Amino acid sequence: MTGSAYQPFGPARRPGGRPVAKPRYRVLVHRKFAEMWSSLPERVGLAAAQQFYDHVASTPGQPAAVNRTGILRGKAGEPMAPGFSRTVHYEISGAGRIDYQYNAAYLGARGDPHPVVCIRAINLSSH
Amino acid sequence: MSAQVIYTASDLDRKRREVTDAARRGVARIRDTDGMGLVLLPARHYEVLDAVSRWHDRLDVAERALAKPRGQRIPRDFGDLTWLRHLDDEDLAVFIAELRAAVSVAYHDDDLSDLDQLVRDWRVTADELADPARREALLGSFAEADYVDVERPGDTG
Repeated sequence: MTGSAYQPFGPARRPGGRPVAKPRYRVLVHRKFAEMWSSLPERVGLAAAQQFYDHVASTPGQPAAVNRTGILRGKAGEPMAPGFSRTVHYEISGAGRIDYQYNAAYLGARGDPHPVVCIRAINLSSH
Repeated sequence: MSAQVIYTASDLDRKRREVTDAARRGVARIRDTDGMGLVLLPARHYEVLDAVSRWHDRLDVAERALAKPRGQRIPRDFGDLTWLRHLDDEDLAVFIAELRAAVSVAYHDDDLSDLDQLVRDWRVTADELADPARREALLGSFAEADYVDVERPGDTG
């Protein structure tokens, strides 16, 4: 893969490719779903898992280029803390759904502002 | 104001273009040979009317379910929207209010797009809340300690 093939704000890249640029957003997963996150490549395929990661690590607030995204309604969709987005629902495959929020100016425990994506829930039940 | 034209059934043969043009403009009224009144509408408009009518019924059903004590509700209280049972009372009330507003907009705009999207989003939300672990994570407050950093899948570092 050449350096020019990766566009941080572009719609998509070749599945399974490796990004050259550093991800803009730090990606966190709720502990309850850490194990499910580890099994993501085998459940939905490595390419789909990487596409999801690349999407949230660079442009979590934009519609996904390949997969469908939406916003959860009601209390599940509300920002979990000031500065966070509403909950985005990303359909990673026919059998996978991921719910996340992002905060472009998150102040972490160390007090340094940085963009963060929090994966709140993963649903790998088939629909 | 022009007089309302009522076509006869035989006009469907003799004045086919005129009848279909009237329908395309909104509605063509036709009197059948036995006197029964019929109307010809653009399919899109019919679909909106059908959906609006169906949603009025569904929202009445949902309101009746909401009025029942939560512990006494059973899935069929929600009619064909059994997935609503995964919403708590507060969300159910918001669902009903948002859907009523969207149904009104769909009717007046003659367009179901926003209504369909809203229903999809609520259905997805209810599906996510159906699982206790997801429900707890989605409705819980934020604590950084609940989260762990993850790498790009397949990358070794």
